[in-house]
Amino acid sequence: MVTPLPHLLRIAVLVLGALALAASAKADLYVVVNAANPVKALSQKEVVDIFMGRTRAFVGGEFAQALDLPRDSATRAAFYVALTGMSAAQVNSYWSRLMFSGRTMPPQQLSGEPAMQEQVRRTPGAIGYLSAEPADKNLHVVLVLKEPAK
Amino acid sequence: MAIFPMQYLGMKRTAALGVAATLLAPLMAQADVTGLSSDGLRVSGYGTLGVSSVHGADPWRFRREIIQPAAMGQSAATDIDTRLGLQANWTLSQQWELVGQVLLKRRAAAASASESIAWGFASYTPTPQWTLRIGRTSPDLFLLADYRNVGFAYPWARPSVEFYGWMPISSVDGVDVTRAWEQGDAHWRAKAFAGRSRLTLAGADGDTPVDGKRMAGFTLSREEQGLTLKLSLAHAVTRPSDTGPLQTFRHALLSVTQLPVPSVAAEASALMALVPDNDFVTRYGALGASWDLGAWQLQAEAAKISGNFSASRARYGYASVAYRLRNATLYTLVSAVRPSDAPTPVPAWEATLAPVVGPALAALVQQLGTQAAAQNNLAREDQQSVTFGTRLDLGTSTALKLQWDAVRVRSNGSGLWFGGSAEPRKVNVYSAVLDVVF
Repeated sequence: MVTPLPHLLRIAVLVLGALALAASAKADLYVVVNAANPVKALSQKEVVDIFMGRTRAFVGGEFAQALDLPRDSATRAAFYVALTGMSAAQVNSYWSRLMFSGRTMPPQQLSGEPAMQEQVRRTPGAIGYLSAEPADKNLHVVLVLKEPAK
Repeated sequence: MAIFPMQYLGMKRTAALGVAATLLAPLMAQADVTGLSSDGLRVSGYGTLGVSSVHGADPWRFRREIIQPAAMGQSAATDIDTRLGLQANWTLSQQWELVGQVLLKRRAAAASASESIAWGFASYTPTPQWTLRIGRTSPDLFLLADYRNVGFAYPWARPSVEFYGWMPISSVDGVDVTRAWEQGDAHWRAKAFAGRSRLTLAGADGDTPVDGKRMAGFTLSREEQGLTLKLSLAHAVTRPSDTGPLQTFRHALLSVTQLPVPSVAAEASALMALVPDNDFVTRYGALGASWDLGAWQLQAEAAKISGNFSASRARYGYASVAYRLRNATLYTLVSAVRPSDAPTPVPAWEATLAPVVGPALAALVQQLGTQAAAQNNLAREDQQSVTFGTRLDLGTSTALKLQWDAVRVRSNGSGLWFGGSAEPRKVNVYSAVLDVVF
């Protein structure tokens, strides 16, 4: 008795589907700004400069307000490794230099991704990051960071 | 030696904490730290808990800066590095911010509680490139003068004592202006400050409150792909708050210059010239470089101080190499300070003066000359050290450092130590330091 073709096809589809699912489970990080922001795309270097306090403005000169996830969040750690190659401890050390010398404050920490989305939606100059592509039309993705392979 | 009893010291610390609490309380009442928009209050802080064991220095006492009094104990001194900083940032709008920081650490007994207020200023940022700050700010001199108390920010247990220990000015009451700009991939920052300051130096013969009458400076830094270069220039006019003892000393030496013995008169004149008759003027110039290269972190600075105060004219420098391996950072640091002026020889006046003014007066004048030379030589800083250590990051906000400093102090070079003396010494310092930020 020969295996029916539809049965094989079904298995093949299931396998392909599983593989596709596994690929997308490797999360990318989406850097988002308010849709009203004239900035439509940012290079990685420009995002680094904003999140590491080297500049307080977007290229056009408007104030940028960087937002962050809680200090011990896994997504935050992944974001900084993908963005700068620095671990969470290194990033905290770097920021303590700027913060406690009264120079610049680190990105404002929010309670989680829902709060992040809300804040970017509300504030024209805000820039934040999310672990999933937002469906909200009030947010615009300016950069996608590939999460580094574990 | 502390002039005031310990309870008084305790009172001062409590007073400082009280000031902090009073300042923060009304702000805290309005605080809602999570999920705020641009008007928000953020409270943060840093702390260090350290213990050091010093070998070979007795009776000198090791300290990391000259505003620090003698460490209590040699075998397990906990007050050399232990400190706590509390900061409040109140963002009023995108352009206005209020910042206050209180730094609690062991200071000279005579230091006032207000010296614990590291800064309190209003910051105005009309455009992202310009920042104007008014109030008590930090002078931002050299690479890390601004954050030398934040152990978590650097790999070593403490910044180079040779390079940073002599610098007593950590806050300026005045104004500063910063301009930041980009040039291709490079970020530039130019800053100018001016103001006044008050500090208290701790010494074995008693503490010296100092009035920083006029201070001004300029820094220029350039950062590109992990390489930071910084130029610092500053000018400070200071004087002891109580000039009485200094004036008495000078008058006594002046009378010796009028004795009818030319050699003695000339030497007395030279001794008078070591110390200014009115204001102490100091000029600072320094160049620093810091390079982050993957797992390597290199840093070096060189400075030259000049002015009308002989013992402070010196050259300073250090270089550090650190290598990061997962959670550990291994580092080595070499640093040195060399005075520009030679030590002052002790004058030999007694024999020459005895036939002229009589043995009793000659002995007294000799004492004066000996003291003048000794005072100048005791203030000289002439030493170098080699440091090895490791920093272990425990979690994301805590770091433990284990460090060994091999210090060699040359003769007439113990100015950085508390209760130093003229002879050379080899000292080993072993430290374990825990730094946190919150």
